[in-house]
Amino acid sequence: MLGEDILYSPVRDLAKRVRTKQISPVELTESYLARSERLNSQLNAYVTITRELALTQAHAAEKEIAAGHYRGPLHGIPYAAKDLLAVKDYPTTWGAKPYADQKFDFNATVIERLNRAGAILIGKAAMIELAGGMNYRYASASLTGPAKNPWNEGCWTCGSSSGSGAIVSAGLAAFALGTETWGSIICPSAFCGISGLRPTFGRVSRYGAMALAYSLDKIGPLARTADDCGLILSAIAGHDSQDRSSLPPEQAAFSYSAPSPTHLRVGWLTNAWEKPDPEVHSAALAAVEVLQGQGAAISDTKLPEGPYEAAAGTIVSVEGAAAFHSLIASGKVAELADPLGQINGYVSQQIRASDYMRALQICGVFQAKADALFDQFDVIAAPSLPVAATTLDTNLETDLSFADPVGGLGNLCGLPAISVPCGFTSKKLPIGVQFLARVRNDAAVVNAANLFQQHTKWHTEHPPIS
Amino acid sequence: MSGVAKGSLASCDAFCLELDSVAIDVRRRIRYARRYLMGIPRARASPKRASGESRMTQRKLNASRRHFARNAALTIATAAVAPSGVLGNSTAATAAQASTDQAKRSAESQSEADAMYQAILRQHGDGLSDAQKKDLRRLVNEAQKPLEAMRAFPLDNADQPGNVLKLYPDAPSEAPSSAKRAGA
Repeated sequence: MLGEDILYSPVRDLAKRVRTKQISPVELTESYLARSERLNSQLNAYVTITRELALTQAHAAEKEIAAGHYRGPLHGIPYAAKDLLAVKDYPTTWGAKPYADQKFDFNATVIERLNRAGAILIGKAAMIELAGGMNYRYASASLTGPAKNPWNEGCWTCGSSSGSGAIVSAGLAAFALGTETWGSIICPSAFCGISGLRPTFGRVSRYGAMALAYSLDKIGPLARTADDCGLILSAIAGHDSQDRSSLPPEQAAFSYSAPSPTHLRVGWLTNAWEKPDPEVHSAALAAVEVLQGQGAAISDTKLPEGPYEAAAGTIVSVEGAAAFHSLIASGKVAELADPLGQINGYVSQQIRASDYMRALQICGVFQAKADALFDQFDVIAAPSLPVAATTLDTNLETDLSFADPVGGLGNLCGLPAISVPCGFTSKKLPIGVQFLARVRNDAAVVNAANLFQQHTKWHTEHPPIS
Repeated sequence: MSGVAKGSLASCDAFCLELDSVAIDVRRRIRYARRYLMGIPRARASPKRASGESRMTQRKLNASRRHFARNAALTIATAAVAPSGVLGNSTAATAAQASTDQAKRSAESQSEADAMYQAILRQHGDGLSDAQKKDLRRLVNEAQKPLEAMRAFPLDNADQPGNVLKLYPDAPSEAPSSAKRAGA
């Protein structure tokens, strides 16, 4: 079995070893599988470990590479996919009891794309039930119980890509796919001390993914580095006529080669969080100063004022209620694990069509305002969250309830964002800094985070779990 | 046409544009003062696609450029003193109006929350425990605040929704056409 030094390597390093045959894809896959099977019950990170599929794919990759047919940097690299992505003939539970036995007879487009890149699926990652679409009060709102944070198992990984965060953080796979409707990639990345990229809306096809909010759902990678996120996005991005929100081919495609940004203009958001934890605030500010030390121009800026959080929340509620209409109408929503999730759909169903339409109009207004913000900056930066990981028993409704204008505006307007680790609290819990950019400028957030990681070591730290 | 003449025309255009810009600023100030008096929240400053009304306004502005230039100084003088004086005198009245609006909105809001709650009970009440009903009562009340925030935001006919229908040329999909998005 391979050691932690290999299992915690970035995809780019693993790819080099696989390409040069220093590591066999089968050996790498078996090592990740063994570690996943050993630690899963400790972390609640997976719903299903796809051992048989993984070994079939690993042997195929090994054979191809040995024959000189190397497909690219994801060839022979094991990954996990959030359990709302359809994988043919395997359970796709959406993290919820009412769908525990659900199977699809096709693969989601992202799974197909990763198959084409030669990546190896080793498991379906645990998640918050229905990606939080019916809302939730506790970290335990999942078919598989609360995902535990590898940095402190008494703490949560954050949701809804809760298992994806735990898997990457604990070195159970080289990367994972997550989804974000509002916060579900950025938050687990921050809490788990990993790098997570939320791509521009429409860049990655959602075909075969559970629908929560048709206007806001995005799929993106969680990995060890921003550079890895860029590599993975280039494999999964692209137009797909099966997703009606897919960007046109020339706008959806993402080609990536680790660049060296010059004259980066960074706006530091002074109104991102009302009362950030001082340790979190200092670490994120220090991260931006690292960029400044590398020639970036930093200046303060503010998000526009307006009810965009209310609009984003209304869209999530109404579209979620529509997406799960049959579940709510049948009363099977009562089978969800979370007490809030069991009833909140009833409230969402009552929101008026005129309010929903108004939310979409507000979305249109703020798309223009968000775009204007990036006339002055390549990226804007802020702490990914105002706090570090919370305990497993935290009441999220009362104790993790704060205004999130960055997430509200970013998700409402489909902006790309990345969260990368930038320090630790005194309790040794990870802190994240996030960068956002103009729509379709995913390269800018990857570049900014990549520049930061080239001059820091936070992303190389591992949790005390083995 | 000589270079000098061209230059003069260009200067004249620049001057007129500058006056137009001053005029727009003055109009904005006056509009803001009027809106403040009426208790209407400040209109957003971002540019938007022209509605029928604003297109008409633009034509009017173009037609009256010279007329406007002659009167600009007077308008500027008026606008410069209007906002502070007017606003200073109207604070109490505005506050009273705002308070009335708030009270009215709260009553309407409570009534709407009650109606939502009753609708939920009619549809799903049989399967709900007392604790869940109590929770639902709280949730429908809490749902009002963001709805009110959105309703107070000024929008007009020209404000398009963020996700209008887009028809892209069809490209072949990697996934089988018989399959569909895994919707609930």
